[in-house]
Amino acid sequence: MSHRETIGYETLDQVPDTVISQGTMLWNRTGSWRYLKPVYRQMTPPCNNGCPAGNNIEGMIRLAEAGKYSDALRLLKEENPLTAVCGRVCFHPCETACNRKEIDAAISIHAVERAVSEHGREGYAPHPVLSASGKTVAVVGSGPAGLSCAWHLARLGHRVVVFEKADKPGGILRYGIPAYRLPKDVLDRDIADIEALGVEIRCNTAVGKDLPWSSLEGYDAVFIGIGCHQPRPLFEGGEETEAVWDALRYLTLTAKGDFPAGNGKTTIVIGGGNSAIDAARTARRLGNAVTVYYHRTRTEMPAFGEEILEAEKEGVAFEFLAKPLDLVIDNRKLRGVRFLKTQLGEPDESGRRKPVPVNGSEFVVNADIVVTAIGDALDRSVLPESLDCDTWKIKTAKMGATGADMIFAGGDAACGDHNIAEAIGSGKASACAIDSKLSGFDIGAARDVITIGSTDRISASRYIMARTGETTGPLSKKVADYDKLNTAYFTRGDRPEQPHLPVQERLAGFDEVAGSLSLKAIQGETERCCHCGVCTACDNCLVFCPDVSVIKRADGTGYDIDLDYCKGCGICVNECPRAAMAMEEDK
Amino acid sequence: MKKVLMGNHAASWAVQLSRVKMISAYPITPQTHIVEELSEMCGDGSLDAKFLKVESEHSAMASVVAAQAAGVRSFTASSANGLALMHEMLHWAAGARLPIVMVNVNRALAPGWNIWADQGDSLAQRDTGWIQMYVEDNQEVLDSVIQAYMIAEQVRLPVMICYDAFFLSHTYEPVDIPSQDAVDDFLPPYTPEVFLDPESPRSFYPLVMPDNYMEIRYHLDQAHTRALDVIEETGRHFGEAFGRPYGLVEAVNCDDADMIMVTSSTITSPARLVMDELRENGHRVGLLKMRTFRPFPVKAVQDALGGCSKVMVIDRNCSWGKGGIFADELKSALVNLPDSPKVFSYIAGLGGRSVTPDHIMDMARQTLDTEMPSDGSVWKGMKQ
Amino acid sequence: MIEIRLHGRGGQGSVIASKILAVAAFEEGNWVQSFPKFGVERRGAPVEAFLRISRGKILIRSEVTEPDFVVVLDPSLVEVIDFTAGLKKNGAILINTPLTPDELQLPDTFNVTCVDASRIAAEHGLGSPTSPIVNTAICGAFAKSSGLVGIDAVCRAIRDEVPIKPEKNSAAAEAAYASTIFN
Repeated sequence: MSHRETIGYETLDQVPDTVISQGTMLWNRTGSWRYLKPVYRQMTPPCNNGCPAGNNIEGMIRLAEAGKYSDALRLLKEENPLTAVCGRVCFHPCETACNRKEIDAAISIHAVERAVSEHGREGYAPHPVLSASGKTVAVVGSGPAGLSCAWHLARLGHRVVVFEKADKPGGILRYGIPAYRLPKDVLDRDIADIEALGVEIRCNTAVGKDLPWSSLEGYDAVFIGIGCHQPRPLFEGGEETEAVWDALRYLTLTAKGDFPAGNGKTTIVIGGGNSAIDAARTARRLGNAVTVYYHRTRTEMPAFGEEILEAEKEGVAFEFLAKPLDLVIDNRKLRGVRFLKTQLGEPDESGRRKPVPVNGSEFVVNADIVVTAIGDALDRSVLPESLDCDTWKIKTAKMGATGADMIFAGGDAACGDHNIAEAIGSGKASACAIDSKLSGFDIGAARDVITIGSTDRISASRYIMARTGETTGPLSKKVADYDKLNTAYFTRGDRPEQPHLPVQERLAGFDEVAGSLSLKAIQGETERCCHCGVCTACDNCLVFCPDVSVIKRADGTGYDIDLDYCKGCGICVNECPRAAMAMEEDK
Repeated sequence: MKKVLMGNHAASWAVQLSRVKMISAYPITPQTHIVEELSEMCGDGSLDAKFLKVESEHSAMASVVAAQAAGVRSFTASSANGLALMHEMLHWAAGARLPIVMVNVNRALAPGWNIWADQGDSLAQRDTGWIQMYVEDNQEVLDSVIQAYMIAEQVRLPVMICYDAFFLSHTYEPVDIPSQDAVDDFLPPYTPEVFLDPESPRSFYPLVMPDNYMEIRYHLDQAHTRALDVIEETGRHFGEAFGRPYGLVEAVNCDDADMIMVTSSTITSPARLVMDELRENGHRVGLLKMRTFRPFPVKAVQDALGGCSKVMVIDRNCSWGKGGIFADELKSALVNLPDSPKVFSYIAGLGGRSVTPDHIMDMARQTLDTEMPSDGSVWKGMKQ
Repeated sequence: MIEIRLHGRGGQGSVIASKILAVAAFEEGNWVQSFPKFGVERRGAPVEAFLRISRGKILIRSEVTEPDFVVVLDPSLVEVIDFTAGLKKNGAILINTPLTPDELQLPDTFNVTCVDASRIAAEHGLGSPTSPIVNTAICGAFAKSSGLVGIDAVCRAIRDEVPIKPEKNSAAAEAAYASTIFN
């Protein structure tokens, strides 16, 4: 640039005595050597990628780490209204995806979500994002799918009426999940947020029974999230004994305090899923001796491992490789169940080994009460005939579109995966699909910017940005997997265990078993988070740059590269702990 | 102000009085007191300096090199294995012509593990380009560290002040601490012409091709030659300012001596007692204290020893396979003199063994009674 | 030049005692030199510290092997170590003990003085009753026993050099000064 000169020394005296250039090196723009340059990027953290509800988990943890709990709650609720619920009963696939498990143990994300839901309430008030559209949408069913759909539609400016056949809203959350896992005041708080947006919930109104479908014709769109509540009788002749129950009905009656059976009975639960465990643990709390019978082994049980362990702690017994044949009834009174022993054969289509009956191995187990938990079917009797359904679900295209115009479906009634987070995600996807139809927004063209990471799950916040023409910022569809991290910068720590109620206290009632972590423990968890793929302004790039070419922005929003001097050595990218930088060709 | 101080704290006081701006160190016995005291001074604000904790002595010297290159007066301290780990960066400090000052508390190198006095650690750094000075008592520790900055900054060479583990480092004795004003008058602020300045960046310590390397190294060697005068002058000026003059060496009763004892560090003190006793008994014995080891004061040594017939050197060190290092260096300084004195070499006090007046008297008597020295060094004070 | 050797156990403050006495003697116009026996000290293990007091500069740098004066800070050491090793004939001994010089039955070539420094330290709340910190009390007794330093200089040195409970430590020294028993 300026006074660049080549100096040749002729004499001894001319040669300097220090090994320092004789003048400024400002002329020497080492950036000219570069053919690659570093860029900052945002990848999708594996937790975000793994959340069926589409939560921005990494963002929540970052805000919680800074003590901004109400901001963290606001961020969560952009994707999911049921945060306090999910912090307790979601099976947290985010934690299964968490890279931290390769270092020490997955972040206790559900505990952070629970804490944010508790401590973020001060300063949080839900409000619609878009102004009123003048459209009205009917939501049938107030389970997680319906509530999620209603929430997002309301945020998008639509009037929503929710129809619920039971006396209170919540569906499976209210009457399927026992209070010791999900206290009902916690559920009420999340639902109150939804109502605060103006969503109207009409209880004791079963559409297709109390109210004909035709009466919804005035609505601009309909979302169906009625769940799968049609019991499938396992045995013949159970009704007459009044001692054989479908698990969901058993749990519902218990939740309402209406269960007729008394204490001290011998109860058999048949099944291996979460409903079986819920029923068994509930039966223990009613004072019964409980044994769960499952036709495969513990390894094949679909229930969450932790739930099985807690059930055992509470005195639930398990018997495996037993296939129920029929009931033993004596004079209209249940005496027991006849089983056949099984052994494991070849894997079936789910990958689990199939139970094969052993001939001549029949045995009878005495029982006062039998609860069957073998999965419920779709109640087709309450659905309009125009919908294409099978035993298990309403057939839908992407984002819940049914064959019928402006009728969408989600949750258990339309999805194969029966879990709460999937239901919440499906309700949200349908809300966005409904909104795009009502507003004329081309959702297909925006798909790439509104889906999360490598999945086809919808981010509501990104949908709103796309819909309103806001820039959505850089977001790689790529997931920041473990092998992309520079783990030298992450020190090992311990994952804190949530406090649990002593077993004796649990069995005395339905008090919540798992307690909250202390704020100190939550702080520790947030600090343990690697923030995979997201720049946290940790300054590593700045510290390691040998050319002082990483310039920190004064407003704290990130860094710029001084390309006059960056040689493209790539040290910053190597030393970025969280893969939030990459090298790209410099053209 | 006079205080009873341990030698290590005398060093800390000197660093404070020298208004050092940056200190980086890694702890090692018997040096640790120095930097502990300095970190407290930084903590309580009595010293306006940045104290940098590092993960090794190599990093300590590397960071001090960087700080000094950025234009501030810097300090570190180490000992034995710590100094050995610094070795590469010691070359950097001298090659970069940075006037860093460090204290090395002389301690033996392992194994066997030994934390006691032995000069082998710093003498092994002889050829790194540092000025090395060996001091006798706690007062000289304090005075020499202050002088070291004065010397270093005039010739742009790093200075290592060395003193014996425990015999000084952990020993309390009276020290006269000069006032800050007096030290400020003696030692001006450090204002280098060229320093690492982001506004006008220069290329620091880049590749030097064969066509310039020798000249640059010649300048380094010349700086050591110049340092001989600067050390003398600084010691004299210090004497004028504080009443305690110093020099490259201290020659006592050398003019008329037939035999001169050559010592360094704390062994000098009991040798003074022995000299007095021998003189009382009619022996013309002198004493030469080697305060400076690098640059080696050839002229001063020749002036002091040239007239006598026997020289006995006591070394608390050994170059394995050769013998006492001071004795060896001394021989090469004397070899071309017309009537070069005979040099008797003794090794004593390794690894912290006491060197008493009786031991030194034994060496002196042996020297006086022996016609010709042996070729190697004689080990003294050992088990029989 | 007077050479003094102090015997104590690691953690009792023998080195601090030698420094306090050095500071006191220096304040009174002497040259002093004080240092611990150079080793790897451990709490509870027998330790030594040395003190030299002289009118002129001290040039000797080795450990004290033929002391004029021996100070024993811990009564239990009497059974464990040869604390009179190298002690000059007619040398003096100061021992922390509840006994009197007569009861100790040491060779009568030595001048023995006793002080119950453990009791005095405990009474002044120094350390714990079972393991009192006796070094300041012993300094007061040394002033009385040796006559080499004045008790006022010792108390001033304690207040300057002891960061914890300077007044109680100083009072302990005075109490020990008053209760030192000669043979």
